[in-house]
Amino acid sequence: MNKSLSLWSGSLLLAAILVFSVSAIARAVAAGGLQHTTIFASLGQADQSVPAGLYVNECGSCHMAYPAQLLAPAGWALIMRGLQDHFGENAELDSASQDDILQYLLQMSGQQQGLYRKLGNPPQDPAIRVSEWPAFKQTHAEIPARLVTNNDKVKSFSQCNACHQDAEKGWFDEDHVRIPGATGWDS
Amino acid sequence: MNSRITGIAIFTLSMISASAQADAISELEAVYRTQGVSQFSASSGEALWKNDFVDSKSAETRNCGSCHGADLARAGKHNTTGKTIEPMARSVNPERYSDTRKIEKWFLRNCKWTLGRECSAQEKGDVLAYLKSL
Repeated sequence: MNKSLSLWSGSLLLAAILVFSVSAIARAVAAGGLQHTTIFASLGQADQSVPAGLYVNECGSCHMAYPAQLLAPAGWALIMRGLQDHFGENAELDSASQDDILQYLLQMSGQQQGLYRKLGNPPQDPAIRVSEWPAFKQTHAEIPARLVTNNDKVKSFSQCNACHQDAEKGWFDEDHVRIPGATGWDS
Repeated sequence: MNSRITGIAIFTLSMISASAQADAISELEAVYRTQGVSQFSASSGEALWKNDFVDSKSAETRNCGSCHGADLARAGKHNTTGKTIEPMARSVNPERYSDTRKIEKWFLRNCKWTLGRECSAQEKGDVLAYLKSL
């Protein structure tokens, strides 16, 4: 009797543990916690999947998870230390997440062939608004406002991924551009 | 014998934790009670939700609907980025209310942005009471 009771409670415990594990994995997948690894794997940083996941979940839940290579390490440090006023929004995080994300961004930004190096001299130092850089303005000068700021599906030049389909992967070449709502736009 | 009792105890605790996890609002209400709140009022929550606040820096008028929209059963739109914000009404979007950490994170950010300060335990409990009634 004792033995069967023990076996019964043991099985229930095992079942409970199983349910928890499965639901935890399901939640992680639903939150995009696994899917991002492929994005960063394409840049050859698959081993960074855990902090990348935190970055994509926390920052990417409001806007595109900008590739770390877009800014120099000093720019990321400035952004991550000023989350209380993040371009006019409050984007505060608990300090542990903030530190982990900053470490990830510093590491990635320092390692990669940074896009920021190709953008020439930034208008301020450290630069945090890529859309204000001369090289950015030059390459986007021919695009009329009706397609960006006056376009409900784009709204701002900071929404790279509205037009650059593979922006999160760090690909910004013209072949991957599709401006939403732009009929007959020859890009 | 001892190990069997331990097993049953762990199982019971797991089940309690599972039900709490399934309802993050109840879990938060318990926390707010320890902070001195005795009752939660959906109507006070609704009043706070719909109240206008003037931002001291930009002088613009802000309220929860600035981003969440007027109909909480439908998606809202972020007033700067245009990002779609999933519905707030618990009846149509229960997933929103499954993670206490996430709820507190957004209360911190959005109370500071909208009201210019953090919300009290009473205010958070009232707003949750309102949102879960929808």
